[in-house]
Amino acid sequence: MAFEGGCLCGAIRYRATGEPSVVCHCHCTMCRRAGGAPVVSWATFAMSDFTILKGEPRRYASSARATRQFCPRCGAQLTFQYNDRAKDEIDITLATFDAPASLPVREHVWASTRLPWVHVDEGLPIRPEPAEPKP
Amino acid sequence: MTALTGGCLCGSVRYRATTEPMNPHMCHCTMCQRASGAPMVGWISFPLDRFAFTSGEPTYYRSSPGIRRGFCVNCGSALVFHPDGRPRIGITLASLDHPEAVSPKFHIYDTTKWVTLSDGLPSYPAEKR
Repeated sequence: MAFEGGCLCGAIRYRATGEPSVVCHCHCTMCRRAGGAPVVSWATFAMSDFTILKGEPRRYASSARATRQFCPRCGAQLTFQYNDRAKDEIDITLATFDAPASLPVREHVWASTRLPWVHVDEGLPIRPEPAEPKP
Repeated sequence: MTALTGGCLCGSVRYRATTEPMNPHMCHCTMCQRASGAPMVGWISFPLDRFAFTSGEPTYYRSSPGIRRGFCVNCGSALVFHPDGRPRIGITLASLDHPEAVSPKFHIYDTTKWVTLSDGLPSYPAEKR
């Protein structure tokens, strides 16, 4: 399968192939601030299956462990990577795919910081949180 | 009342409002989805004379004629929705320092919604009139 997407203004386009290893709703406070949204959804693809077709995202080191990319023209949040896994995998914001519904969300992550008024896809499982600090 | 404060992820852009937020709601339109990378975006608004940026300024993108969206050019956080000439500024609810304290009251543009909601809130196919 090939899944294409891009930012709001169209300056950046990407393609992911294969199947995502994770498709999740993230409730962490950093994703919420980055997106300006109450919950941010992600699909994780192998780095070897991800290609930027057009444009150059801007990188932001959102913590010592992670890097986020966004469109410098329209601000759309596009990717998240743990630095120590950046050669292997990349998380792509589900909402920037051309057909987000083609990648059904499977679970909630970092649900301990879910906003109390967010009631989205409540039937999905909640991933247990690791002891490691949040991204 | 106490002031409401908020800002972007990296802290470059900070704002302060000195009145209750108006019209808290969630938008499921495809433009909000693309701008944030999220399935829906919560919005509140403030009269311009009760709102100020206290650090930095957003960078603006004209997302359609007469409308501009503001974001932090350093970290990309979506912050502002502002139709030209409107006396209120739209701010992303999730950029508040305490978004848990401001509950959205309804959803709009639910025809392009791709999540299942169970919050019991009213939902409208386009702008609420």
